[in-house]
Amino acid sequence: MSTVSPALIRWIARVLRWGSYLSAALLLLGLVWMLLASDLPPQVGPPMPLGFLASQLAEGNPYAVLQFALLLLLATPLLRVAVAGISFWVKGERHRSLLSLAVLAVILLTVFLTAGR
Amino acid sequence: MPLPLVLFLIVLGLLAGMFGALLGLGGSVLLVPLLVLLLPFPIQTAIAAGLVCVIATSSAAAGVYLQRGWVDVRLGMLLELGTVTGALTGASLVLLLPEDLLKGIFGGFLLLAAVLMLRRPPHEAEELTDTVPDYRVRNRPLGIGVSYLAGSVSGLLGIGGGPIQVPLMYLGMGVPLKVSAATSNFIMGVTAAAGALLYYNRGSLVVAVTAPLVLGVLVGAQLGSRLARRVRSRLVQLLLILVLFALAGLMLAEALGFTIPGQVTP
Repeated sequence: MSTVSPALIRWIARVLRWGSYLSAALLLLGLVWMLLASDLPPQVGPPMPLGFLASQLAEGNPYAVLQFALLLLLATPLLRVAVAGISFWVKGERHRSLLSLAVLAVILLTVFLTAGR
Repeated sequence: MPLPLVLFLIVLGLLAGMFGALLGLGGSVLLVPLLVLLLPFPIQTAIAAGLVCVIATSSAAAGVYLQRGWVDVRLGMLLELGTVTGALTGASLVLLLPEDLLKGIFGGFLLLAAVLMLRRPPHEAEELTDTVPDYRVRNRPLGIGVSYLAGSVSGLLGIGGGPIQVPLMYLGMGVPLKVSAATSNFIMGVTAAAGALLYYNRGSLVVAVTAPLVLGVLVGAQLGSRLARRVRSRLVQLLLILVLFALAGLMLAEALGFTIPGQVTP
Protein backbone atom coordinates (compact mmCIF):
# COMPACT_ATOMS: atom_id res chain seq x y z
CA MET A 1 0.00 0.00 0.00
CA SER A 2 1.49 3.35 -1.03
CA THR A 3 1.49 5.82 1.84
CA VAL A 4 0.10 9.33 1.94
CA SER A 5 1.20 11.86 4.56
CA PRO A 6 -0.80 11.74 7.82
CA ALA A 7 -1.40 15.51 7.53
CA LEU A 8 -3.15 15.07 4.17
CA ILE A 9 -5.24 12.18 5.54
CA ARG A 10 -6.27 14.41 8.46
CA TRP A 11 -7.22 17.26 6.12
CA ILE A 12 -9.25 15.08 3.78
CA ALA A 13 -11.03 13.41 6.71
CA ARG A 14 -11.74 16.83 8.23
CA VAL A 15 -13.23 18.19 4.97
CA LEU A 16 -15.48 15.14 4.54
CA ARG A 17 -16.58 14.99 8.17
CA TRP A 18 -17.30 18.70 8.57
CA GLY A 19 -18.95 18.94 5.16
CA SER A 20 -21.40 16.19 6.07
CA TYR A 21 -21.95 17.47 9.63
CA LEU A 22 -22.59 21.02 8.49
CA SER A 23 -24.98 20.01 5.72
CA ALA A 24 -26.83 17.63 8.08
CA ALA A 25 -27.23 20.45 10.63
CA LEU A 26 -28.51 22.83 7.93
CA LEU A 27 -30.90 20.16 6.62
CA LEU A 28 -32.32 19.68 10.11
CA LEU A 29 -32.67 23.44 10.58
CA GLY A 30 -34.35 23.85 7.19
CA LEU A 31 -36.77 20.96 7.77
CA VAL A 32 -37.87 22.21 11.20
CA TRP A 33 -38.24 25.72 9.76
CA MET A 34 -40.25 24.35 6.80
CA LEU A 35 -42.61 22.47 9.11
CA LEU A 36 -43.08 25.52 11.37
CA ALA A 37 -43.87 27.81 8.41
CA SER A 38 -47.41 26.51 7.93
CA ASP A 39 -48.30 29.09 5.25
CA LEU A 40 -45.49 27.90 2.95
CA PRO A 41 -46.70 26.34 -0.35
CA PRO A 42 -45.27 22.82 -1.01
CA GLN A 43 -42.26 22.85 -3.33
CA VAL A 44 -41.99 19.64 -5.34
CA GLY A 45 -40.53 21.11 -8.54
CA PRO A 46 -36.96 21.70 -9.69
CA PRO A 47 -34.50 23.59 -7.45
CA MET A 48 -34.48 27.39 -7.60
CA PRO A 49 -31.87 29.10 -9.84
CA LEU A 50 -28.58 29.93 -8.08
CA GLY A 51 -29.04 33.68 -8.56
CA PHE A 52 -32.42 33.50 -6.85
CA LEU A 53 -31.10 31.25 -4.06
CA ALA A 54 -29.01 34.01 -2.44
CA SER A 55 -31.93 36.43 -2.19
CA GLN A 56 -34.23 33.67 -0.87
CA LEU A 57 -31.65 32.78 1.78
CA ALA A 58 -31.56 36.43 2.82
CA GLU A 59 -35.37 36.45 3.02
CA GLY A 60 -35.33 33.34 5.23
CA ASN A 61 -37.01 30.88 2.86
CA PRO A 62 -36.60 27.39 4.45
CA TYR A 63 -36.51 25.73 1.00
CA ALA A 64 -33.50 27.93 0.19
CA VAL A 65 -31.79 26.70 3.38
CA LEU A 66 -32.48 23.07 2.36
CA GLN A 67 -31.18 23.68 -1.16
CA PHE A 68 -28.05 25.39 0.19
CA ALA A 69 -27.47 22.40 2.52
CA LEU A 70 -27.77 19.94 -0.38
CA LEU A 71 -25.40 22.04 -2.52
CA LEU A 72 -22.91 22.06 0.35
CA LEU A 73 -23.17 18.27 0.52
CA LEU A 74 -22.63 18.00 -3.26
CA ALA A 75 -19.59 20.27 -3.01
CA THR A 76 -17.97 18.34 -0.12
CA PRO A 77 -16.39 15.49 -2.17
CA LEU A 78 -15.24 18.01 -4.81
CA LEU A 79 -13.57 20.06 -2.09
CA ARG A 80 -11.81 16.91 -0.87
CA VAL A 81 -10.45 16.32 -4.39
CA ALA A 82 -9.23 19.94 -4.52
CA VAL A 83 -7.55 19.69 -1.09
CA ALA A 84 -5.76 16.48 -2.12
CA GLY A 85 -4.71 18.04 -5.43
CA ILE A 86 -3.25 21.15 -3.78
CA SER A 87 -1.48 19.08 -1.15
CA PHE A 88 0.12 16.79 -3.76
CA TRP A 89 1.22 19.87 -5.74
CA VAL A 90 2.87 21.41 -2.68
CA LYS A 91 4.68 18.13 -1.99
CA GLY A 92 5.96 18.04 -5.58
CA GLU A 93 3.85 15.07 -6.71
CA ARG A 94 2.74 16.84 -9.87
CA HIS A 95 1.25 13.79 -11.64
CA ARG A 96 -1.03 13.05 -8.65
CA SER A 97 -2.01 16.69 -8.55
CA LEU A 98 -2.86 16.63 -12.26
CA LEU A 99 -5.05 13.58 -11.67
CA SER A 100 -7.13 15.57 -9.15
CA LEU A 101 -7.26 18.49 -11.55
CA ALA A 102 -8.47 16.17 -14.34
CA VAL A 103 -11.28 14.79 -12.13
CA LEU A 104 -12.43 18.31 -11.19
CA ALA A 105 -12.11 19.54 -14.77
CA VAL A 106 -14.22 16.66 -16.17
CA ILE A 107 -16.99 17.31 -13.61
CA LEU A 108 -17.03 21.10 -13.87
CA LEU A 109 -16.78 21.13 -17.66
CA THR A 110 -19.70 18.71 -18.01
CA VAL A 111 -21.78 20.66 -15.51
CA PHE A 112 -20.97 23.91 -17.31
CA LEU A 113 -21.78 22.46 -20.73
CA THR A 114 -25.11 21.00 -19.58
CA ALA A 115 -26.20 24.03 -17.50
CA GLY A 116 -29.67 25.26 -18.33
CA ARG A 117 -30.61 22.24 -20.49
CA MET B 1 -44.71 19.99 2.70
CA PRO B 2 -47.05 18.23 5.17
CA LEU B 3 -45.56 16.78 8.37
CA PRO B 4 -46.72 13.15 7.74
CA LEU B 5 -44.95 13.08 4.36
CA VAL B 6 -41.75 14.55 5.83
CA LEU B 7 -41.80 11.93 8.62
CA PHE B 8 -42.54 9.18 6.08
CA LEU B 9 -39.50 10.21 4.01
CA ILE B 10 -37.25 10.39 7.09
CA VAL B 11 -38.34 6.88 8.18
CA LEU B 12 -37.89 5.55 4.63
CA GLY B 13 -34.35 6.97 4.54
CA LEU B 14 -33.64 5.65 8.02
CA LEU B 15 -34.68 2.08 7.15
CA ALA B 16 -32.81 2.12 3.83
CA GLY B 17 -29.69 3.57 5.49
CA MET B 18 -29.81 1.05 8.35
CA PHE B 19 -30.22 -2.04 6.17
CA GLY B 20 -27.67 -0.70 3.72
CA ALA B 21 -25.09 -0.22 6.47
CA LEU B 22 -25.86 -3.61 8.06
CA LEU B 23 -24.86 -5.38 4.86
CA GLY B 24 -22.46 -2.87 3.34
CA LEU B 25 -24.78 -2.51 0.36
CA GLY B 26 -25.49 1.23 0.52
CA GLY B 27 -28.94 2.61 1.30
CA SER B 28 -29.76 3.80 -2.21
CA VAL B 29 -30.16 0.27 -3.60
CA LEU B 30 -33.30 0.02 -1.45
CA LEU B 31 -34.23 3.70 -1.43
CA VAL B 32 -34.55 4.32 -5.18
CA PRO B 33 -37.03 1.46 -5.87
CA LEU B 34 -39.00 2.26 -2.71
CA LEU B 35 -39.35 5.89 -3.82
CA VAL B 36 -40.43 4.85 -7.31
CA LEU B 37 -42.95 2.34 -5.99
CA LEU B 38 -44.39 4.40 -3.13
CA LEU B 39 -44.36 7.99 -4.43
CA PRO B 40 -45.68 9.34 -7.73
CA PHE B 41 -42.38 10.94 -8.76
CA PRO B 42 -40.45 10.24 -11.97
CA ILE B 43 -37.62 7.73 -11.57
CA GLN B 44 -35.10 10.54 -12.31
CA THR B 45 -36.17 12.25 -9.06
CA ALA B 46 -35.59 9.01 -7.13
CA ILE B 47 -32.19 8.49 -8.79
CA ALA B 48 -31.12 12.07 -7.99
CA ALA B 49 -32.18 11.61 -4.33
CA GLY B 50 -30.35 8.26 -4.24
CA LEU B 51 -27.12 9.86 -5.45
CA VAL B 52 -27.27 12.62 -2.82
CA CYS B 53 -27.80 9.94 -0.14
CA VAL B 54 -24.70 8.11 -1.46
CA ILE B 55 -22.67 11.33 -1.04
CA ALA B 56 -23.94 11.76 2.54
CA THR B 57 -23.12 8.23 3.69
CA SER B 58 -19.84 8.14 1.79
CA SER B 59 -18.61 11.45 3.25
CA ALA B 60 -19.57 10.53 6.80
CA ALA B 61 -18.03 7.03 6.66
CA ALA B 62 -14.91 7.95 4.65
CA GLY B 63 -13.76 10.32 7.40
CA VAL B 64 -13.68 7.37 9.83
CA TYR B 65 -12.11 4.89 7.39
CA LEU B 66 -9.38 7.39 6.47
CA GLN B 67 -8.33 7.80 10.09
CA ARG B 68 -8.25 4.01 10.56
CA GLY B 69 -5.83 3.81 7.62
CA TRP B 70 -8.12 1.61 5.53
CA VAL B 71 -8.39 3.92 2.48
CA ASP B 72 -5.80 3.68 -0.29
CA VAL B 73 -5.95 7.38 -1.25
CA ARG B 74 -3.59 7.10 -4.23
CA LEU B 75 -5.47 4.18 -5.73
CA GLY B 76 -8.78 5.91 -5.03
CA MET B 77 -7.68 9.06 -6.84
CA LEU B 78 -6.60 7.04 -9.85
CA LEU B 79 -9.81 5.00 -10.06
CA GLU B 80 -12.12 7.97 -9.53
CA LEU B 81 -11.07 9.34 -12.90
CA GLY B 82 -12.83 6.25 -14.34
CA THR B 83 -15.84 6.32 -12.01
CA VAL B 84 -16.46 10.06 -12.47
CA THR B 85 -16.35 9.82 -16.27
CA GLY B 86 -18.65 6.81 -16.04
CA ALA B 87 -21.09 8.58 -13.72
CA LEU B 88 -21.37 11.51 -16.13
CA THR B 89 -21.99 9.05 -18.99
CA GLY B 90 -24.63 7.16 -16.99
CA ALA B 91 -26.40 10.32 -15.86
CA SER B 92 -26.43 11.60 -19.47
CA LEU B 93 -27.74 8.26 -20.74
CA VAL B 94 -30.81 8.59 -18.50
CA LEU B 95 -32.07 11.37 -20.80
CA LEU B 96 -32.14 8.97 -23.74
CA LEU B 97 -33.88 6.05 -22.05
CA PRO B 98 -37.64 5.76 -21.52
CA GLU B 99 -38.75 5.66 -17.87
CA ASP B 100 -40.13 2.10 -18.12
CA LEU B 101 -36.85 0.81 -19.51
CA LEU B 102 -35.00 2.45 -16.60
CA LYS B 103 -37.35 0.71 -14.16
CA GLY B 104 -36.73 -2.57 -15.96
CA ILE B 105 -32.94 -2.10 -15.78
CA PHE B 106 -33.22 -1.30 -12.06
CA GLY B 107 -35.43 -4.37 -11.52
CA GLY B 108 -32.87 -6.54 -13.30
CA PHE B 109 -30.07 -5.05 -11.20
CA LEU B 110 -31.98 -5.81 -7.97
CA LEU B 111 -32.58 -9.37 -9.13
CA LEU B 112 -28.86 -9.81 -9.84
CA ALA B 113 -27.94 -8.29 -6.44
CA ALA B 114 -30.33 -10.72 -4.69
CA VAL B 115 -28.89 -13.75 -6.51
CA LEU B 116 -25.29 -12.65 -5.81
CA MET B 117 -26.16 -12.09 -2.15
CA LEU B 118 -27.60 -15.61 -1.93
CA ARG B 119 -24.20 -16.95 -2.98
CA ARG B 120 -22.18 -14.63 -0.71
CA PRO B 121 -20.97 -15.81 2.72
CA PRO B 122 -22.24 -13.73 5.69
CA HIS B 123 -20.11 -10.97 7.20
CA GLU B 124 -18.73 -13.12 10.02
CA ALA B 125 -16.65 -14.98 7.46
CA GLU B 126 -14.93 -11.79 6.30
CA GLU B 127 -11.87 -10.04 7.70
CA LEU B 128 -12.44 -8.89 11.26
CA THR B 129 -8.99 -7.61 12.27
CA ASP B 130 -8.09 -3.90 12.27
CA THR B 131 -4.69 -4.35 10.63
CA VAL B 132 -4.14 -3.98 6.89
CA PRO B 133 -1.79 -6.57 5.32
CA ASP B 134 0.93 -5.51 2.85
CA TYR B 135 -0.15 -5.71 -0.76
CA ARG B 136 0.85 -4.57 -4.22
CA VAL B 137 -1.79 -3.09 -6.54
CA ARG B 138 -1.88 -4.80 -9.95
CA ASN B 139 -3.95 -4.45 -13.15
CA ARG B 140 -4.34 -0.65 -12.99
CA PRO B 141 -5.64 -0.28 -16.59
CA LEU B 142 -8.28 -2.96 -15.89
CA GLY B 143 -9.14 -1.07 -12.70
CA ILE B 144 -9.77 2.22 -14.53
CA GLY B 145 -11.84 0.45 -17.20
CA VAL B 146 -14.09 -1.41 -14.76
CA SER B 147 -14.34 1.74 -12.60
CA TYR B 148 -15.84 3.48 -15.62
CA LEU B 149 -18.50 0.75 -15.69
CA ALA B 150 -19.12 1.09 -11.93
CA GLY B 151 -19.50 4.86 -12.34
CA SER B 152 -21.90 4.43 -15.26
CA VAL B 153 -24.13 2.13 -13.19
CA SER B 154 -24.01 4.67 -10.35
CA GLY B 155 -25.00 7.61 -12.59
CA LEU B 156 -27.68 5.58 -14.35
CA LEU B 157 -29.34 4.01 -11.30
CA GLY B 158 -28.52 6.43 -8.46
CA ILE B 159 -26.62 3.91 -6.36
CA GLY B 160 -23.03 3.59 -5.12
CA GLY B 161 -20.78 1.50 -7.33
CA GLY B 162 -19.65 -0.76 -4.45
CA PRO B 163 -21.16 -3.99 -5.84
CA ILE B 164 -18.84 -3.65 -8.88
CA GLN B 165 -15.92 -1.70 -7.39
CA VAL B 166 -15.24 -3.88 -4.34
CA PRO B 167 -14.95 -7.23 -6.20
CA LEU B 168 -12.82 -5.47 -8.84
CA MET B 169 -10.27 -4.22 -6.32
CA TYR B 170 -10.35 -7.35 -4.17
CA LEU B 171 -10.29 -10.04 -6.86
CA GLY B 172 -8.85 -8.19 -9.86
CA MET B 173 -6.31 -5.80 -8.34
CA GLY B 174 -4.99 -7.67 -5.29
CA VAL B 175 -6.28 -5.16 -2.72
CA PRO B 176 -7.38 -6.58 0.70
CA LEU B 177 -11.16 -6.74 1.18
CA LYS B 178 -11.31 -4.16 3.95
CA VAL B 179 -9.21 -1.67 1.97
CA SER B 180 -11.30 -2.38 -1.15
CA ALA B 181 -14.56 -1.63 0.69
CA ALA B 182 -13.19 1.54 2.36
CA THR B 183 -11.57 2.84 -0.85
CA SER B 184 -14.73 2.13 -2.85
CA ASN B 185 -16.73 4.11 -0.28
CA PHE B 186 -14.16 6.96 -0.54
CA ILE B 187 -14.45 7.03 -4.35
CA MET B 188 -18.23 6.85 -4.43
CA GLY B 189 -18.69 10.27 -2.81
CA VAL B 190 -17.13 12.15 -5.71
CA THR B 191 -18.64 9.73 -8.25
CA ALA B 192 -22.15 10.32 -6.92
CA ALA B 193 -21.49 14.08 -6.74
CA ALA B 194 -20.63 14.12 -10.46
CA GLY B 195 -23.87 12.33 -11.34
CA ALA B 196 -25.97 14.33 -8.89
CA LEU B 197 -24.74 17.65 -10.30
CA LEU B 198 -26.05 16.65 -13.73
CA TYR B 199 -29.45 15.73 -12.27
CA TYR B 200 -29.43 19.02 -10.35
CA ASN B 201 -28.68 20.94 -13.56
CA ARG B 202 -31.55 19.17 -15.26
CA GLY B 203 -33.99 20.09 -12.46
CA SER B 204 -34.56 16.47 -11.38
CA LEU B 205 -33.41 17.06 -7.79
CA VAL B 206 -36.49 17.81 -5.67
CA VAL B 207 -35.12 19.59 -2.61
CA ALA B 208 -38.11 19.03 -0.28
CA VAL B 209 -38.08 15.26 -0.99
CA THR B 210 -34.31 14.73 -0.93
CA ALA B 211 -33.63 16.67 2.30
CA PRO B 212 -35.62 14.43 4.71
CA LEU B 213 -34.32 11.30 2.95
CA VAL B 214 -30.69 12.38 3.42
CA LEU B 215 -31.26 13.04 7.13
CA GLY B 216 -32.93 9.65 7.53
CA VAL B 217 -30.18 7.82 5.66
CA LEU B 218 -27.45 9.51 7.73
CA VAL B 219 -29.10 8.48 11.02
CA GLY B 220 -29.97 5.01 9.66
CA ALA B 221 -26.40 4.37 8.50
CA GLN B 222 -25.09 5.25 11.99
CA LEU B 223 -27.64 2.93 13.61
CA GLY B 224 -26.88 0.17 11.12
CA SER B 225 -23.13 0.28 11.70
CA ARG B 226 -23.68 0.05 15.48
CA LEU B 227 -26.23 -2.76 15.13
CA ALA B 228 -23.94 -4.70 12.80
CA ARG B 229 -21.91 -5.98 15.76
CA ARG B 230 -25.00 -7.27 17.61
CA VAL B 231 -27.30 -8.63 14.93
CA ARG B 232 -26.74 -12.01 13.26
CA SER B 233 -25.57 -11.17 9.73
CA ARG B 234 -27.10 -14.31 8.21
CA LEU B 235 -30.56 -13.33 9.43
CA VAL B 236 -30.32 -9.78 8.07
CA GLN B 237 -28.86 -11.11 4.84
CA LEU B 238 -31.80 -13.48 4.32
CA LEU B 239 -34.27 -10.69 5.09
CA LEU B 240 -32.55 -8.40 2.62
CA ILE B 241 -32.53 -11.07 -0.08
CA LEU B 242 -36.31 -11.40 0.33
CA VAL B 243 -36.74 -7.60 0.16
CA LEU B 244 -34.50 -7.39 -2.93
CA PHE B 245 -36.49 -10.13 -4.70
CA ALA B 246 -39.78 -8.39 -3.79
CA LEU B 247 -38.55 -4.97 -4.98
CA ALA B 248 -37.14 -6.48 -8.17
CA GLY B 249 -40.50 -8.12 -8.91
CA LEU B 250 -42.41 -4.89 -8.25
CA MET B 251 -40.02 -2.78 -10.36
CA LEU B 252 -40.22 -5.23 -13.25
CA ALA B 253 -44.02 -5.29 -12.93
CA GLU B 254 -44.09 -1.46 -13.07
CA ALA B 255 -41.78 -1.53 -16.09
CA LEU B 256 -44.25 -3.84 -17.82
CA GLY B 257 -47.10 -1.42 -17.15
CA PHE B 258 -48.78 -2.99 -14.10
CA THR B 259 -49.95 -0.45 -11.49
CA ILE B 260 -48.71 -1.04 -7.95
CA PRO B 261 -51.34 -0.12 -5.32
CA GLY B 262 -50.51 1.93 -2.19
CA GLN B 263 -48.73 5.00 -3.60
CA VAL B 264 -48.49 8.02 -1.28
CA THR B 265 -49.72 11.33 -2.71
CA PRO B 266 -47.60 14.36 -1.69
